[in-house]
Amino acid sequence: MNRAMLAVIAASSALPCDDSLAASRARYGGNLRLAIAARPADANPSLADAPWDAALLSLTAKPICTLDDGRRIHPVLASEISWQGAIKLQIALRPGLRFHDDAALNAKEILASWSRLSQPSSKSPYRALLFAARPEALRVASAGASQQLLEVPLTFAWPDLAASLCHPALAIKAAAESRAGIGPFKPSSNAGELEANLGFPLGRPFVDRLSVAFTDERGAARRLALRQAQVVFGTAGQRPSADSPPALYATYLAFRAERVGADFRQAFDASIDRGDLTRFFVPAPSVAMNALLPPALMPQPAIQRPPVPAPGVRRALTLTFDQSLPEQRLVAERIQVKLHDLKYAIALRPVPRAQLRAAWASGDFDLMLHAVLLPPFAAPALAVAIELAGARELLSAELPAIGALVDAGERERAALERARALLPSLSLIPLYSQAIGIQASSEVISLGQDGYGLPALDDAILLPQ
Amino acid sequence: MRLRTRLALAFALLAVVPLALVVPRAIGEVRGILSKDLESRLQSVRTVAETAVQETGRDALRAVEEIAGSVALEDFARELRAQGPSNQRLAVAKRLMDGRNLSVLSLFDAEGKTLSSGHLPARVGDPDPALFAATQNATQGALPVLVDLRGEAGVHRYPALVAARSFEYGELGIWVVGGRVLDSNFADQLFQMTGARVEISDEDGQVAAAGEIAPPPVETALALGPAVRIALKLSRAPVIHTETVLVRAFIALIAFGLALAAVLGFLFARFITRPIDAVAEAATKIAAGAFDLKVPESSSGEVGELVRAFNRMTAELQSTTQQLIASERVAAWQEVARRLAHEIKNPLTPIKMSLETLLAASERREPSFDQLFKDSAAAVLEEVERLRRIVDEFSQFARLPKPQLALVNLSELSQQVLSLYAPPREGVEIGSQIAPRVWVSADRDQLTQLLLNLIKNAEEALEGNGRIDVRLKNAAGQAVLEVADSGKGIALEDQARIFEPYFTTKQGGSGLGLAIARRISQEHGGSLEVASSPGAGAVFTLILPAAAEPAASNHRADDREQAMP
Repeated sequence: MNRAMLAVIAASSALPCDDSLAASRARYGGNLRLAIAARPADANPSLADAPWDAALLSLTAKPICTLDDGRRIHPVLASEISWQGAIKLQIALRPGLRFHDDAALNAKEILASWSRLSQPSSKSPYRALLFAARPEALRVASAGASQQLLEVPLTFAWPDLAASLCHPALAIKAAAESRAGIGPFKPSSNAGELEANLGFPLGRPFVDRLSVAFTDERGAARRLALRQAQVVFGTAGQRPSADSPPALYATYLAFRAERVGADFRQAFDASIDRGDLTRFFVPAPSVAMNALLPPALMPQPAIQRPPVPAPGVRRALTLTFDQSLPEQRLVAERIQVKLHDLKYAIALRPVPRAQLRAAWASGDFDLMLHAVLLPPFAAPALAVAIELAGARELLSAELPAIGALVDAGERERAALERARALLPSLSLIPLYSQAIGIQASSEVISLGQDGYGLPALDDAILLPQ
Repeated sequence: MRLRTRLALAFALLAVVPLALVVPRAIGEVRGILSKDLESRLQSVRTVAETAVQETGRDALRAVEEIAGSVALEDFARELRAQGPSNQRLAVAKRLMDGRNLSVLSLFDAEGKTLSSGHLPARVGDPDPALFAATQNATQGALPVLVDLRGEAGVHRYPALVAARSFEYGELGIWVVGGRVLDSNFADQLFQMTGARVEISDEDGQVAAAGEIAPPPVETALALGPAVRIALKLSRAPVIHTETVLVRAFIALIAFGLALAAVLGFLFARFITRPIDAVAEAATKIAAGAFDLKVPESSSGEVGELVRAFNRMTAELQSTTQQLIASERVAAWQEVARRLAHEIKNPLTPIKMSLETLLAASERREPSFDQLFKDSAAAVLEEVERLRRIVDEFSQFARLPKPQLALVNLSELSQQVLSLYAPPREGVEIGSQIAPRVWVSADRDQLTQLLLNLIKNAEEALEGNGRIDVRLKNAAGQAVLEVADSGKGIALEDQARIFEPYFTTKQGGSGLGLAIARRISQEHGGSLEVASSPGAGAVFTLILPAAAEPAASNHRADDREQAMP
């Protein structure tokens, strides 16, 4: 939502009051205290995909564009994104942009940020977002004092590339040691604080300062109750509803087919109820996911629990998961216990996220809980899911046909159809999807979310008390 | 086996046999006492373990009852009733467990579905029939069950003692089932209390153990329900060690007793058998001719009587022997006199007849008296010569001088004697196999006479034709000379008497030649024997002690002596 409109709405909310309330009209300023029920985020954008990690990162480092809650593209670092034919994307960078370390933003930084993700050594499933592009062929069409025009050639038509470039994993960071970004906030000299970036191209945020504290779920709720925090991320405050942010943070169980055996998928589906996962072990808002893509992107098929296969020879497997995500530990324990009765002796192996991605990239795992923040479009979400399943070779077979469809609706339908068809053959079992749980005190208004369901804290207004 | 040895062994046996009879019984008694003590300790350990298990069950029941009546559980029930299951209540059971010394706690709904679990949160939403079964016997206190516990390595089943209590919140019924896992901590606690090795096992095998003991173990067990077993083991090693020490001590005692008994027995046996040995030794000497030997009469009792009887026997034997020798000497002289008289009488008869013939012829004034006188005189002279020869031989036999011993080369002597018969008379062959340098210590003249007698005897045995072989060799320190003839041989009954004086099988023989030869051989410390078979000739074998060959100068002196005429 446009900040000006927000300001008007905020101001209007005070109009019916008498003059004594004139001082309470929305205004810039204030220190918004944020509590996050999670561990501190990794500074690597491609790893900061837990919703609260991405939400926090997006405050200081933006991609070239964002998606609003209507999935519309809003250029941020770019002034304009346009297509020059079906296989060439043109990006006009805003002039005069500088990173928080005062380095200038230019096409080189764009290329470096994207190349870190797209190169083969990248240990990230998000490189599928750039599968159609050839960042190495990125060129500066023109570079003037007022504008830098970038051209991104594609290997095949992929209209959703522009929307993919808005993914938080593609946040632009400086190539320098500082790895600074460009966002509505910038790091402050005080630890745990962010201050408003007055030079942000979309305008400064309403609040002057953002204080961030990491705690657990109970600690976050306590802070909120005691007014020690005005906004809390990661609390299981509400059940999913129509107004809830989209649950695009999808968790899958990746497996190595040659290690788990041919009947593993059947055994898993027979013994694990995804509804129980979201009911008992995954904090709300979360929904069960039976299809390759979450309910926010595609209808979920009816659950048909297959018969429990006869316990075979005892098979010892290791389940690797992200040690920074408490719900993954609970889900991992659930899987361990439920499959124990079917002769699967599963050992748990919690690792840091970077190590998890490295193990995924090398294929050195038996079972792995893997969570990714999917884009709110079916086609690029399908690409990420296929990449996550380790079937990159399918991208060149599946994506061009989908990308060739000009109509967005047709592309969506085609992507969903392929998602349904490909699921049985992928070494991937969908489990659940989550949205970021957000609670805010009454002092905070206009706390919206973007197209990824991430809160737009730069739009938040702190009412005076 | 000697008497002394037998006596010593008997003493040793007398010492060992009682020990061998007593010691095993003693060891058996001690073993029994030690085993009973061990059994008693084991029973005591079992009692302590039973008490600990019962106490653990009571603690679990107290904790469960406390939880069932707690405000926290009521809050849980209220939220559950209002909001339904939620992941926010996942950790309730864990919080209720902490601080109450419980390692198992699950909250179930009335159907047995897990509402919250402290020991296995992943079980929420699922039934846990093994644990929920404890609710069937809630009034009985703590019960043994098998519970699943999760670790990073996987899920494992452990035995546990749990109690169950119900809690009602309106229409909502909640079962609280909690207790303590019988894991390695519990096993270690039992080990600390009892000092016994503790092994906790279920139907799949051993799940926990604590304590180490030296093998072999002795065991008792507590059965907690049909599936759980707690084995308590004590080591038999100290008992075995004590038995071993005891056995070794007894073996040492037996060995010492045996040795002592053997030594004492040997000494006592020696004391007893010494006079007997003396008697045996004396008997040996007496058998060799020492009749004047007396055994000291220092013993008493039967042995002393034996010694005295032996000495008396010895004296009588000496007397008898002397009498016998005298008798034999008289008998021998009587025989010699008889034979001498017989020999003398033979020539006297023709002398007498000749003289009587002459007297008769003289009285009858026989015209052939002169001739008759000549014939009779010749006959008388012949018989007188014969008498003289008989007397000479007898004198020689009777007065055989003591041999003057000197080193004699018997090989050369034999050759010289044989040369006297070269060439032999017609029809007689003489062969010789004389080994060189066979020396003896002998009287040369007597030895020469001996050889001459043997060869002369062999020649006479041939009766005209035949062969005589003389063989000399040095065999094992003895000079062995054989004179063999191929005559008619000597009858067996004559062989025993052939060396007696005046025994002869030849016409005209004096019967003293072989007797003299044997006497010479005996005077030289040797022997002369004969071997013969009728018709197969005879072999006379002279055996003398050989002497060492002298030095060259002595040898040459002997040669010079031999060369002198």
